[in-house]
Amino acid sequence: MVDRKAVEDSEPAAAGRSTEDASLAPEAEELRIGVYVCHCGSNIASVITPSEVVAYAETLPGVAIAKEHRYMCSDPGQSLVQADIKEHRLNRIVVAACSVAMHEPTFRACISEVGLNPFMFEMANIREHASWVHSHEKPAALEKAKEIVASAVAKVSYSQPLDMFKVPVTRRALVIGGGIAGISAALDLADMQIETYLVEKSPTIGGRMAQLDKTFPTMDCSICIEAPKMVDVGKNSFINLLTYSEVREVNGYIGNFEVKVERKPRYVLLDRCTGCGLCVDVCPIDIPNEFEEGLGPRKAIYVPMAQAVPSIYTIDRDACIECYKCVDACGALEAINFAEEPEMIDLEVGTIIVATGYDTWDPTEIEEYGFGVYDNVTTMMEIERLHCAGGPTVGEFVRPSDGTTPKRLGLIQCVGSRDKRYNEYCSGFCCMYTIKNALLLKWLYPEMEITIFRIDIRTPGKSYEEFYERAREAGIHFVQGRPAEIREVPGSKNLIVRADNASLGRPAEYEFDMVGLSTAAISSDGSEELARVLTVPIDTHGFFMESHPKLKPIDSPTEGIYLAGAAQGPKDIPLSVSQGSGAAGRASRVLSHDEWEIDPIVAYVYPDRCINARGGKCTICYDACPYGAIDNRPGSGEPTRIIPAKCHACGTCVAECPHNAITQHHFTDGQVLAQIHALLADRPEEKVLAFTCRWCSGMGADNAGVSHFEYPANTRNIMVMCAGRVDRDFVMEAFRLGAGAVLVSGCHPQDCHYIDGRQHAQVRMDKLAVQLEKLGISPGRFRIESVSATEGAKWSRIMREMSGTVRELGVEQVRTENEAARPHLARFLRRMQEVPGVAEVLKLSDEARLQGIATPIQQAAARRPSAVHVAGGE
Amino acid sequence: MTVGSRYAYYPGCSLLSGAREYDHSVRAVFAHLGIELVDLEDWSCCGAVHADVHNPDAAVLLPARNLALAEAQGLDRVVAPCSGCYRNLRRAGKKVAGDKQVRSMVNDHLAGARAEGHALQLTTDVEVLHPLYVLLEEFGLDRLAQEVSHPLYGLRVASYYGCMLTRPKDVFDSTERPVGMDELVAVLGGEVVDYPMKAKCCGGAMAISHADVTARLTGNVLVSARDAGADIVTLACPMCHTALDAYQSKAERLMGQALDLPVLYFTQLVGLALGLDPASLGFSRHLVSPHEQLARVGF
Amino acid sequence: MSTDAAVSSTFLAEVLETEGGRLVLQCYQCGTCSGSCPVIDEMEYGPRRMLHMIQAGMETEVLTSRDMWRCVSCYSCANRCPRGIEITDLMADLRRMAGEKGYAHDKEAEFGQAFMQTVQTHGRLFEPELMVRYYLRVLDVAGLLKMVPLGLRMLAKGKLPFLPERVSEPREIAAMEVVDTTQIKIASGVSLTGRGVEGDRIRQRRDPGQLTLGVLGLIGTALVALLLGLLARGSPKGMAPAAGRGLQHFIRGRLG
Repeated sequence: MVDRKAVEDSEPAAAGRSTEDASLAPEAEELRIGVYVCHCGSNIASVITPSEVVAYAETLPGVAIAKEHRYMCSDPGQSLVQADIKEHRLNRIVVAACSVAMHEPTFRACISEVGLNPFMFEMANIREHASWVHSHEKPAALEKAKEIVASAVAKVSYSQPLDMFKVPVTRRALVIGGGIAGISAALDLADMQIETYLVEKSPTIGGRMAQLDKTFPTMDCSICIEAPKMVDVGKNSFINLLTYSEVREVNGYIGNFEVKVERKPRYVLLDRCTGCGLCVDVCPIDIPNEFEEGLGPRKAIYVPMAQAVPSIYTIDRDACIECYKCVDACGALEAINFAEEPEMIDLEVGTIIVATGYDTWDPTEIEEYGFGVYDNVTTMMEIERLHCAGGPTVGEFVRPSDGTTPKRLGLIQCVGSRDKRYNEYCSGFCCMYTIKNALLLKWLYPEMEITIFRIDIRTPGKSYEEFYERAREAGIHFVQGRPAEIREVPGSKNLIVRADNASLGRPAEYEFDMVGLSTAAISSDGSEELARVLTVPIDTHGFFMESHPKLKPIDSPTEGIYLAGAAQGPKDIPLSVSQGSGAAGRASRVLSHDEWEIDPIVAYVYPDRCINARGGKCTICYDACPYGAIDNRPGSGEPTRIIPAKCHACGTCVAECPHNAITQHHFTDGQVLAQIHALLADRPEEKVLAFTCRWCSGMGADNAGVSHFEYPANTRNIMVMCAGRVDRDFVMEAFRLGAGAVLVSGCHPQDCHYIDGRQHAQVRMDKLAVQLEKLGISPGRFRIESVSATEGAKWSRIMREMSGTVRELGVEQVRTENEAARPHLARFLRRMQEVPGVAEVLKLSDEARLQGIATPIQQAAARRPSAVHVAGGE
Repeated sequence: MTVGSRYAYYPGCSLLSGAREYDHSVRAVFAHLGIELVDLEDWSCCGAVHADVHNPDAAVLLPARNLALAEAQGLDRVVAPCSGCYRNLRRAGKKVAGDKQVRSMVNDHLAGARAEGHALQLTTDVEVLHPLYVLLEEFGLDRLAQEVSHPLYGLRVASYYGCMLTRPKDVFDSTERPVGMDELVAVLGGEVVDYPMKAKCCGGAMAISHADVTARLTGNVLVSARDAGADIVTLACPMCHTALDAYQSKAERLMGQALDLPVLYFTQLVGLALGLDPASLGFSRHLVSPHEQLARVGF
Repeated sequence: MSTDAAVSSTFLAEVLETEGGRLVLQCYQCGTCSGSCPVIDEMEYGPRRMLHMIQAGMETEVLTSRDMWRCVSCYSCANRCPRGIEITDLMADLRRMAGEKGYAHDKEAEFGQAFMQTVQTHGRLFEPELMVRYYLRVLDVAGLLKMVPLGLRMLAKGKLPFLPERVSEPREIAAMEVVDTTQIKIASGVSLTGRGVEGDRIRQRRDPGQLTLGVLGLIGTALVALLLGLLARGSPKGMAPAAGRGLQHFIRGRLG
């Protein structure tokens, strides 16, 4: 078991040293960098002469060996590197070849096999970013390749060994929500012999499915198919059922969640109540039963439904008048205890599944429909209970005003769904359940005239369209027209529905005895609070958000927390069951390990630089993080900490922190600045410097290469994990150094791999753009763009445009503008100097400038213990 | 809600002529209650529904000029009794407040309209209120109840809201089932008559060009109120008043039934309940006389 | 403005640029608007179909229809539209577009023009002038005569002003370009009943001058009052239409 304390901090436990200062101290370990230039057959070699790049690499400070090879990724190529590491005591490797997306993992594995830490490696992409896109500018392509290598060397010079964090895994699972999705998940986990807690806020499990009469399209009795599963859950030795309980607090991270569950007092003792029901017979209080949608009564002491699991009664103290008749009736069993207190239960689990289901939207807000004003306007769930044999009228379908069976029933779809005023989305299952209810009623009451008003009919699932056909065949009418309003007929309390009948081409009025509204499905009450407790984001409609809508629909963005069922978005029973099982699978992936590895390129807060350590109340980093990975205690005097197991390494907090108190392992400010300096050392006014993210825009740039969409060679790239990482200081420093143009590129905002990093970047860069324009930088010299992984053509176009802008303005103009802006930029950048590791980089760079040395890193070499340069060649 | 003691008063074109009784009754009631109305100097037409027949910006410019006039007089709240004017002015005010480009369009235009240095400008946020909501929200029904000396006991009143008072959706009342005026009537002692057509259009906008449309829509409203047992109808818009009162005879002919339903402005009712001299409230100017109904309940 | 859409119809593109039509592509034909409209029976199509025709780029059908001229601006449709389309404002935009392109021949179109011309002149409305301008435009003598009894009653109740109220500088209002002063488009061939004839050529006509209007207005009102006052003293009913025809001749003669 790894010492848990060690992983509370994002400092790498194994390496045990600080990330920035070590390599810069004069007595630090000497740099012994190996540079390998790949031919990639003729892919690179036909445009860029590898031996020239090798020769150049040898001149770079810290480079001990520089060689070339036809296929670096091949076994011989890799063996060469491994042999050199051993023979020449290399401690950092640069491979100049293809994209990180292709072979970064290959070479990381390669070097770690011989004991070199995998993070002491950097890829220099001279194929997708050079040879494949500048084949018509060979000399310029060669220059670019050299500088790409110089940039990689600059970065790797400051790289530190990093070990994967390993966290222990508690082999227990928590499922929040006891509806069909939660039940499915719990049973699957139990089958894997994983101890599972199932927490449900109401007195019984079963959820919405238990309220249904029949299920579509098979017309199974809902509770009949669900109850056996509920009973299984109740009996299963691996499932600990905590009903009438709610999750109040969650701390920790994947493998190690500490959960506080509040068990609300039932005032009935679980181990004594037999469910005999004698207490109910004597209770004098009748209040509306939520399970019956308020249409039928329950007592103050109650079970919500007959098939409740557990079959234990609960006392609703708000309704109870404390007459104690139930106590008398209970007699010798003594199962009732009015002195019961809420109980806080502490759980330790490795994974959490959120299966909290949905609520039905209250249509009172749609005043033109008169729900809540007209007696005979009901919701579909109310209709469900009214025709259910177990319902308040024992299955006799009657209307509220006078208890008669309606002869004419109107059903209205999309009430509160697909409606910008209320819920913009489609709730997905309502077309089917309305058709189901209509069919059921038609079977029970063949003479009943039923009309369904709709905008569209959506029946996408298996056998769903056939179900719709059955409804039409049964004589149910369908009107294409969303009703405009409902009026009540005084006296009869019938309803007049007015709708524009699109098929007839004119409005019509219909009289009904009763109207049912298909209301929207909304996220269940308490979701927002639960999301906050779990630090799981919710989407714009209040449903829990998935990590990736296509490829990770069951994972939440928070590691170790999974989603199942309608909690993630409205869905029907088969999908809910599927997701329940899916979530159990995702969870068991983690729970089947003793330890779970976490990527170490996480953020880290310098405790002495965080303003909260001095009593500040800053929450900027906390607000920027969508993963809840930041333990932020404003006003407490404690510095903010990153929780590494939750950090996804976007770097947004790093860039957002106004005090430069946060760094990111493997993407430190010092490293990025070193890259900027390396790339802009020579003739910066002619260059376009582009920041790309690791995902969409980085792959878009690669895609341009793969597709051979050529663009000018005066362009240079720096990759970070997310556009959100790109600090304003990076852009300003680039202009201070004399860059011709700067691009910040990332995913399209809705595709951002870190949820909203791209959006933070947009806000940040928009403000910066205004400032730069005020300083006289021509618009067009600074842009922020979105490029997806397939938009190679777009990448190429942007490169051409910006290169064109720089060329049109001309070196002189660019230089003039930069000169005018420089003093201001220098002033803005003063604070950057305080960032650990940055000052040194800048000092070296400025001195080099003064001395007119083209490659400032050479100056660094002069300061260091001299490296042994081995001549290139095999 | 803070009680603004001074409001700019924007009568609107109708209140000068066709709806003079509304103007008089608003002024009389507000004076009695101690709410100061300052005449907006040099006000101009709000444009009704025709402002943008040619220039789409005119729908904002015409009302905005009046808001700028209020600003020039040092006032930040305007009372507009006509529901149409109220909606136009309030909407323009919100557009200007919510969009910098709209504000600069308005101010550029106003600046060009007068000599430099004397130009009107709309730089602040001027709020526009209907006198009904001034009474309901700012003055308060509790306070009003204390001022009632001659309650309207026995008078069955159907409140007619029309369209412009409650739509598009605003903060004061429901768009489908508004209750503000009914609550006012209740506080005045009248018997509230609810009926389905209370917020349906009277068609007043078409009164000249398509009078038959007006007659039909008006007839629907009046029949609905009458069938619910109303003695009188009360409302808050001069255009609706013209339709329901002046066109009542046309509506009667179209619907084929007598209606005899007097139509009063709500401020006239308030005036009665406050004990103001009925003769000053302009009842004789209505085409459908309310004298009989009022006499029946002691006025 | 909704400029993301690439549409081939210039009419649709134009509508997308208006305040009211910004979201017209969102309409999914639910029909709530037409179901809510109190005057749909007066219309040819109703708002739902109009929106679809706009989406289909059917400029002529849309702009020649009488639908937007029957809209009473009650906001019922816009208030209930689940897509948030500002249908009432769109109707106003269609009125303006129809007017600008010469399709407007409805009496309501003339009324709107007359209204704004009056407002432009004085800065505030002056009903008698509005009436005169309007009836001169539409030459709807029958309609005018139908209004006379009401007009007289209102006059008796003091609801009609004799003198206009003005703002201090009416040109401030004129500067807002509330009417198209370059040319006034009306349909020619106005029939006796005042209904415009469809598809007519556009004829330019100068707006009657201010003084002419004022004089005409006074003379007209006085004459009508006098005539009907005389007639009211026990004359047979048939004389009213005869007087009406005479009046028509009189007015036509004045204008030439």
